[in-house]
Amino acid sequence: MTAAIVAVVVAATGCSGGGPDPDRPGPRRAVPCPDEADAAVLAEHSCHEVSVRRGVVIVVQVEPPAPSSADPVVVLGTNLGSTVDYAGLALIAQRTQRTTLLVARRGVPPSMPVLSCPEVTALTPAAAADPAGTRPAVVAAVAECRRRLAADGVDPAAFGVEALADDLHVVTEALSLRRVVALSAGTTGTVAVAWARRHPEDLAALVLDTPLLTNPPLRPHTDRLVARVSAACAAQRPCRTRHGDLRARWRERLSALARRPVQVTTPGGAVLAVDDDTLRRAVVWLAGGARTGMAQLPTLLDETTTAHGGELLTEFAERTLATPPYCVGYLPKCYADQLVYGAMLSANCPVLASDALWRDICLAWGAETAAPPSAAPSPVDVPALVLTGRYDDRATTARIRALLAPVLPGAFWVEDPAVGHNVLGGDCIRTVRSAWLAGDVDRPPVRPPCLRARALSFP
Amino acid sequence: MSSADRLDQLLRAELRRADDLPVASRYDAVLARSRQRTRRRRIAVGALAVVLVAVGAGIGSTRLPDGGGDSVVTERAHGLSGSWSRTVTDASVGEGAWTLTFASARRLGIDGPPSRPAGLVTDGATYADDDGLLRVDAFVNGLCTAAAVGSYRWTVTDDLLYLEVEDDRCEERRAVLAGTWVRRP
Repeated sequence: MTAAIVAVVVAATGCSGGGPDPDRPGPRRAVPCPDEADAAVLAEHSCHEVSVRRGVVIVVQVEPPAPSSADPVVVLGTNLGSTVDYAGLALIAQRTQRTTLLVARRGVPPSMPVLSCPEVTALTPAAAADPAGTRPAVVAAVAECRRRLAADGVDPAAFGVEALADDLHVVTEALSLRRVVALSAGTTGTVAVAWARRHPEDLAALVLDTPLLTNPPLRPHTDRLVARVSAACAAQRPCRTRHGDLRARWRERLSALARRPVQVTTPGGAVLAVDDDTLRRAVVWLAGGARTGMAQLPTLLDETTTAHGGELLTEFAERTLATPPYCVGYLPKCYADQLVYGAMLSANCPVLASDALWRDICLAWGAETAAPPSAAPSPVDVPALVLTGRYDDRATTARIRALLAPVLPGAFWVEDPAVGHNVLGGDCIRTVRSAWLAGDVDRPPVRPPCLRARALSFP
Repeated sequence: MSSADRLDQLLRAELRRADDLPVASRYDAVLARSRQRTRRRRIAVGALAVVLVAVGAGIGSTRLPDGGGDSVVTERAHGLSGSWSRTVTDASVGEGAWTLTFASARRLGIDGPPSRPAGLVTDGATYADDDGLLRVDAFVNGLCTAAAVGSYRWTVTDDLLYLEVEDDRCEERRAVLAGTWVRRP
């Protein structure tokens, strides 16, 4: 199949032998698609390799069911430092009826170079089981990873948000795209916003799914999140009757776990001690889309009353112990098989470094201790649709609005009242996005009945 | 013992009692059941074909299509394209009528009963057919996130489409897709 795709691409572009296309500006060539893309993308697709500063970017181009002259969609991926979820994102072409370009950012495969840190991931089970005890080892492993990459001529500082935004500008030019729609999710929202600020001429519109622009402190944020869920439960008689005052129960469970953590044993025999902070991490994990999201909060609290946890806590423990240090419950939608640790640090550290939890790790990575100056940004005149989740694990809609207002003052806002992070995982909000893109992007999106009917559905 | 474990035990016991199949896991059990169903269907279809050919021969060769000895079994004659429906009785994925539409440009239309779980999203899917091996990404943005693409062996006999699990780790997708589908007019 790969050979056929290459043949089609070569025929269509006039490329021969994979060399630069003489008819198009920019350092771009057709390449065989990576195996992971071929396995996951069932629609017609082809692949490009674009040379950017300090590396190459692999772009998977997915065709819509019918030829389209609309501005293509450029998908920036799910979260910074994670590989592209090709299967989950390829359907955007069908849903928007536009050619869709899935861009693997520099730092994650199949783009090059890859900033993987086996030194850090080797600490996977130990760091989760004993975060405090293994912290010096994690910091040392991060520093060692940086030294190794530097010895190979890779500068981690060249993989920051602005540099990644500039890569997208090069990709747009290399593929001779006049204007595109940028679609981001989570922390890739920082790259989308940087792209809009640095190269607004590239963009016909922006769609930001639950943009994560800051790293809020764990305790106050989880308290506020639980308060919102508690209010939703109180408003539904069955939940109120069955679970009572969730907020009071939350406080009571935190106190109890601080005194005596629950020891959760996974089916593989590993043990995770769940104390009050770990419970907060579990809440972040839930809000990030695990299971049915925040509707599972009452179940989660119930399970902390048992000696060894229940099904939900066990799943959380399994996920936590199977992922690299500070992943599940720390980073949005963190999956072991998708996370590229060095790429995550390079892109996130300007934000994370202000957090005590990340400061020494980011310093070991060579990042600045303070976020780069971004005060008083000038507004960008690009139509934008910002989609948020009422129970986002990291930021309230109001907080995101406050952060984005100076940059995107005319953005349209739609909040999904039933979910947390990554709202485009739901079909209702997808119809909002697709309908907005199909119409006049200078006008507000239509709010379908399915959106009004949505609410947390407690078990 | 969790409800899932109880279901697993029941499933294994039932399969062993009925068919004496070696069952190592729930997933293997589903695969085994699917393959056995297909074998039975093929035997039945083959037997029906033999009977019909014999009857046709008895009536006279003029009743056979041009070319004489063609079987009346029209496997793959129509291909996958078009709409197919089937009634699913598994409440966990939504009891009722499901419809598949294999459209151009590898677009797979799916419609299901209103009672289906929210994770069985029907707002987009694609398929690829490689010599009888059907690959589908249905529900990838919902309940099948962790198992993006599943593959199925397919055969068409007259107006029936048989989908047999080849490799699909998404339990809900298997429950919806694996089985017999009837061509819609």
